Amino acid sequence: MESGTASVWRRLLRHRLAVAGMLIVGGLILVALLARPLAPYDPIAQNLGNAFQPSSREHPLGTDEFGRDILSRIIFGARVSLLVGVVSVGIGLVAGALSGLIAGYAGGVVDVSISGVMDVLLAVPGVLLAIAIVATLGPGLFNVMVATGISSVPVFARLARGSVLTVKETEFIEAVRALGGTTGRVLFRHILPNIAAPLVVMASLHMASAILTAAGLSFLGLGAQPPTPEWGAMLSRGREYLRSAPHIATYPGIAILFAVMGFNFLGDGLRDALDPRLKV
Amino acid sequence: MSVYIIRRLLSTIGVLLGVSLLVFLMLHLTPGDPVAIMIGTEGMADPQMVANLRRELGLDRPLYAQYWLFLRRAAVGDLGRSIRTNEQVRVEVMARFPATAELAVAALVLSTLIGVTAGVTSAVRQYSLLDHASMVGAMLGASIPVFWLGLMLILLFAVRFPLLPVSGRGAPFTEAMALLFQGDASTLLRALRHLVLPAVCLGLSRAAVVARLTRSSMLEVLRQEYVRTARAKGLREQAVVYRHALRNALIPIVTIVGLQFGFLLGGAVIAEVVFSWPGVGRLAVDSILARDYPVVQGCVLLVAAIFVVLNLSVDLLYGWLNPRIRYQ
Repeated sequence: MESGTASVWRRLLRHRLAVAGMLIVGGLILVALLARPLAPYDPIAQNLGNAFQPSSREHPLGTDEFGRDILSRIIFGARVSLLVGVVSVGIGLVAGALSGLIAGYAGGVVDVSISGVMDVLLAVPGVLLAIAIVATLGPGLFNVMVATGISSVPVFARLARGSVLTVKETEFIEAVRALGGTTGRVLFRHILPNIAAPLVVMASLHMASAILTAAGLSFLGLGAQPPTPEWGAMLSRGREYLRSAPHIATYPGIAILFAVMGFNFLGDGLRDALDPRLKV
Repeated sequence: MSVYIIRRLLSTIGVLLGVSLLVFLMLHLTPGDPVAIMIGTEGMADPQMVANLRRELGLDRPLYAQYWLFLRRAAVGDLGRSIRTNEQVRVEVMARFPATAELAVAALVLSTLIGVTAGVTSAVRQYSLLDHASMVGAMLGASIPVFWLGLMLILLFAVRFPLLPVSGRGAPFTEAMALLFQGDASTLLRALRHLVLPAVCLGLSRAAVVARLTRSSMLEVLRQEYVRTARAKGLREQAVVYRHALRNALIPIVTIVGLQFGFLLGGAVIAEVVFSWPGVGRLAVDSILARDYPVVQGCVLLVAAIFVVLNLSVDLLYGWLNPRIRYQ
């Protein structure tokens, strides 16, 4: 197992995009953790006399319509975006992998019913499904996390189910069962580790799309509510001042772009490193 | 094959039923009384109105009976009335649909053209500067937030270089085409000019996906023996690439392009809001913010139904394009 991990690391470090992805994601995590010491100003303290300032020495990215420092808001926004990504991927991964595992392993009626539910969820395009769920639960940042999470469940479920179907027919699983391994033991000790690689790759790629979708929902006014420093919501406010103060909408977008790119690069690199057969 | 088609049709019907249940439950899983949500606290003061709405929605019956009623009504196109306008939901949604379809088709054409061109160029000159540039471009394209791209396009084309309109729809496409046949091209031009920025905004991220898939599919095909044969018999490189390789590489691309259309219909929401495009997506968002649930249900149901039918067509088309696939 050690040598396996080592070789994955070696391949990952040789992958230029993966390294770039790790640097971006690492930077993002660091900024989120150190937001308080890093941010030059309070992200929600208003100073109306100082509104709409362009970039300056005091405010490197300028100030918004309430005179709040945009750099500080973007720094604190990293926390929100990471949290959204982790929670929604967490929901998708746990619920999806679990139902996929069960469907694939049990087969029969269980498989047909779980796969049926997943097919229905997949029948609504992702963004729209998330919007429909937010419409049901009501607008708000937490509901956006739940919505993006639920809309990614079928993707993880399908992936897990497909992988289980191949693994469960292998001889070593048969051996474990012959030795008296319980279903739970077979599923979690033997099958899960063998299907983990594609799930990890998918999780990284889904961090990217969850951040994007959640920021989109906040942009539409369905997610984070003021004064939360959320990148999508900041952009949405900046839209009103696009002509007079374009910097308000510009910088949060660049932050989203970087965060999404980081997870996409990392996901791509992980795919190449974890599963050389998939290399395209 | 016919067994496969029948099975596929049956499962499509099952999925559509599931979607209708999902849309039905949307209103009933909402925390609180749906009637109170629909008409607000002032409306609740009028017990007659509350009772009427409850009866009209069938809320006084058990849940399964309500779903059955919903289904029976939906089957004949009756999705209830909008709370805001009191208009039939079907009428409201269908009035907006052509605008969304126009935008999605334009974005689809654009993303396919850009994506396939970039993908083929990359594959033919693998590891060249052009290949690296277009793949980095594709990575960037897949990561750009649509709403931010839209705002930047507006900034560029409305503020810096006022060349293209950045808001609204010029004219319905069908109307513009009809006028074109009467010798008036200006309406079509106006419609197209309005369409450019929203379509670019929506299509660019999809172009990135198509480009990456085209590249890998082309690379796969270019390694095949028949491509070597084509080269060996002295065909020009262009003929080899386009007539022999691309044709076969297109099979997986057709699938993804078909699926893209569904995503474009869903993803159009954001582009529509940014560019004030009067489509289904904007209607859905406005209706959510106004708590006009029947309209939200109508929008989701329509887009999902189209997506499901498209998936079915793509699947069947795939079998026709690639007879080697055996259906079980």
